[in-house]
Amino acid sequence: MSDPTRAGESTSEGGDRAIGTDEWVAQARSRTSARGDVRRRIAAIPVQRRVLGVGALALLFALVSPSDYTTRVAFTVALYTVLATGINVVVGWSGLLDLGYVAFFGFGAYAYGLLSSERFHLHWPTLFTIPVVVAAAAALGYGLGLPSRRLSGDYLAIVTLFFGQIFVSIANNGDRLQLNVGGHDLPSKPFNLTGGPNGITGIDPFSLFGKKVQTITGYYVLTVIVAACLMLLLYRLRNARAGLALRAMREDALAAEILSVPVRRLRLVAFAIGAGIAGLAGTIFAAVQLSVFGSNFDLPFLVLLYAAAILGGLGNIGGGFVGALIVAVVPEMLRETSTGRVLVYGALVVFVALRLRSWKRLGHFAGALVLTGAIVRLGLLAAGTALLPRSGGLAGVTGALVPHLQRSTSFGNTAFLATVAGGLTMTTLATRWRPAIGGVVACVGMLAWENRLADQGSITRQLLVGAVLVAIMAGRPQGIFGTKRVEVL
Amino acid sequence: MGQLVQLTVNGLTLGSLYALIALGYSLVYGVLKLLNFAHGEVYMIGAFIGYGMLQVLGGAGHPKLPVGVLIPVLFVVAALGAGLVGVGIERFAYRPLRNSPRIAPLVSALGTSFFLQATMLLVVGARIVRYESERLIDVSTGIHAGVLNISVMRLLVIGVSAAVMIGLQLFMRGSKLGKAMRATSYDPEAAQMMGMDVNRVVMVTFFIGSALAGVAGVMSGLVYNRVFHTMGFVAGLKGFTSSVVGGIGSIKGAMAGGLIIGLAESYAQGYVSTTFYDVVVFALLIGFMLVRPRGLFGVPELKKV
Repeated sequence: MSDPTRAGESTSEGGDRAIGTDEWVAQARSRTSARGDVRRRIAAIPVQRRVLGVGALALLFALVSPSDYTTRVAFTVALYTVLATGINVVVGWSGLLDLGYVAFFGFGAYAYGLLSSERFHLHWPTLFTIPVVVAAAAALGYGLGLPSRRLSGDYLAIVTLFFGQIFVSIANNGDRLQLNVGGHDLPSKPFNLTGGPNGITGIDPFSLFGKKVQTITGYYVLTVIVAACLMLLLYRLRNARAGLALRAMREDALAAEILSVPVRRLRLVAFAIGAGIAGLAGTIFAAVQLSVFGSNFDLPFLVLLYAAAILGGLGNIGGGFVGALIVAVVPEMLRETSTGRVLVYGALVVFVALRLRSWKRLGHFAGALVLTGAIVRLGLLAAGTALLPRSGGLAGVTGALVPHLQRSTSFGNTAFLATVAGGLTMTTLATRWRPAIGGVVACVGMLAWENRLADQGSITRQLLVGAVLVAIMAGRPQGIFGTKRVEVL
Repeated sequence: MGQLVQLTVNGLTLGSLYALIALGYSLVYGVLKLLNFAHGEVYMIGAFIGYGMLQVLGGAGHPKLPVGVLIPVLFVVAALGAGLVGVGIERFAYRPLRNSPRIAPLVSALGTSFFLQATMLLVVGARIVRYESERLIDVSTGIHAGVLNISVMRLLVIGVSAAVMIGLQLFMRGSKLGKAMRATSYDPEAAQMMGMDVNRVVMVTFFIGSALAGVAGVMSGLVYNRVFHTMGFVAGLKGFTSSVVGGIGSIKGAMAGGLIIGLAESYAQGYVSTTFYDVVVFALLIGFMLVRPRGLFGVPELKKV
C-alpha cells in the first residue's frame, strides 16, 4: 500500500534510507564496518551451534552464580527471552500487533495457579497441567483473533489491547463474580475465581519426574532449556513452508493471498502460537512466584516486553535474547544509585563514541561539552547564589559544578523537561549543529539524572523504555543487531 | 424509572466525553490512516493543564475570576496546551515514520504513550488531584424536576461538547482548511498535487484532535473531580471504541459512537455489574467488528491493488 502523504516527506531524518538501491549496496556499510565484521563472524557459525553455545554458557552461569539474587536476574533474562521470542513470532514474523500478549502470559499463570493450588483443591500433575494450559492459551488466542480476522492490523491491535485490559480487570475483580440480571443476582453468592487483589497464593512448585523444583537455580536451568528448545524449533519453522508464508504475509498480505497463501488462517495460527508460548512462560512464572496477582500482567510489562523484542530486532529469533538481557539487567543496575551512575555515564560515553566517525568531530563535541559546561556552571552559580538556599547539596557532577545548589525535586523536573525539549529540538537541526546542542543537552540531562531520576528507579525505567521504543522506531527500526530491510522499488 | 433517567443522564455525560476523544482518533485516522495510541495521554495532560491553570487562578476555593469566565479560560488553555502536545507528538514520534511499515508508528505511539505517562508521574507524582469543582458550582444547582436530576456541571459538559461538535462540523464543511483536511483524507496524493501542504494539514489535524481531547480532560476533571496520571489509558480505549462503533474516520460517527458507548457503559453499570461494565463495552466492540466492521457511519474500505 503506498500512502502518498508520505511521498512528500523529506528523508532528512533517516538520511541513509535505502529505497531504490539493492540489498548489497544498502548494506555495504554494515558489512565493511567493525561491527559488520563481528556480525559476519557470528553469522558464520551455524544457528544450532549458536543457540546451544549460548545455552551452555547460560547453564554454566547457574554453577558460578555468586548469589540467589544474580540467579534470579538470570532467570528473569531467560523468562523474558521466551516471552520476547513469542512476540517475535506474532509481531516480527507475521506483522500482527498483539497488545494482549501479556494477558496470555497472565492466563497461563492464573490457569496453572488454579489447577495446582488450594483454591479449588486441585493439584494436577505438572507434566499434565502445562500442556493443557498451553493448549488452552493457544485456543484463547485463536478465539480472540477470530473477530479481527477480516480487519486490518490496527483493529487487531486495539482489540487485543482491550482484551489485556479486560483480563487485568477480571483478575483484579474476579473474587466477587456476580451478575445483576433484571434485579436478580446471579449466582446468589459472589463466586470467587481469581482471589481478586489478593491473587492466588500457595501455588505448587513444578514437580517433574517425581522431584519438586524448589530452588531458583532449578527454574533457571529449566527456563534456559525451554528457551533453547523453543528457538531451535522456531528456526526450523522459519525455514519451513509455514515460516516463509508468514513472512510473505508480513511483507504484503494481499500479494501473499494472491499467491494462494491462506492469509487469514495463518494469522490465526501465528496468533495462537504466540499465545501458547506466552501461556507456557506464564506457568513457569506462577511456579516460581508461588503466587499470581492481576497487577503482574499490566500494560507496563507489555511495553517492557515489546522493548525487549524490538531492541533485539523484530523477526530475529536470537535478538529476543539480546533484548531480554538489556531490559532485565539495566533496571537492576538502575536500582542502586552507584551502579546506575556507572551505567548512565558509561552509556553516554558509548553513545558519543558510536556517533563519532572521525576525530575532528570528537574535537567539536569535546569543545562544545567544555564550553557548555562552563556556561552552565556560570549560569547556575549566578542563579544559585541569587535564588537558592545554601543548605544541603547536590550529588555528583552537579555538586562539583555548583557546590551550594540545593537538591530539589522541581529543579530536577525542570532539568528533565529541558532535556526532553532539547533532545527533540536537536533532532530537527542540521547535523553539524547537533554536537554543540548535544553537549548542552547532555549537561542538562546529567543535572536531571543526578537530582531526580537517580532516586526514581521505576519511573526512570518507564521513561527509558518509552523513549527507546520511539527512538528505535525512528532511528533504527531493525533493532540493535537486525539487518536493514530493503524496500526495492 | 428514576434510575433509568439518572443512568441516561450519566451515560450522556460520559458519552459526550468519549465522543470528544473519539473525534481525535477519527480525525487523525481519516488523514493519516494512523491509530494515535498516545491520544489518551493527551487527554490526561489536558486535564492536568486545566488543573494547573485552575491553581494559577487561585484554586476552586478562591477563584480570582468569576466562575463564568474561569471555566471557559480553563477550556481554552487546556485545549491550546493539549493541541501543542499533540502537534509535538506528531512531529517527533510519527512524522519520521511516514515511510515505514504500518507497525512502526503503532509501536512508536505505544512508546510515546508510556513516556508521557511516566513524565507526568515524575512531574506531578502518583497522587490523585482534585479540581474541587463543587466549590466552584454547588452540586445541588441544576434541573430538578420529579425524577430528573441534572447538575449544572453535567449540563455544561453535554452542552459544550455538543457546541464543539457542531462547530467542528461547520469548520470541516465550510472553511478552506476543513476542505483541505477532507481532501487529504480522501486522496492525499491528489491533494498534494493540487498544491496543498500535506504536512500542514496533518499538523492542523493533530492540533484540533488533541485540543478536543484537552477539552474533554478538563470536563472530566470538572465532573468526576479526579485527575491522575493513568486516567488516559482507559479513556483512550473507550474513545477509540467509540470511533470504531461509529465508523472510524467519520465525524458524525464519532459523536454517535461516543454516546452509544457512554450509554452502554452507564446502563451496564446500573443493570449488569458495577465491576464488569468494561466487559460489556468490549463485547460491543467485538460485536460491531463481527457484524458491521465499518461502524455506523463508516465507508467500506476499498483495497486498491
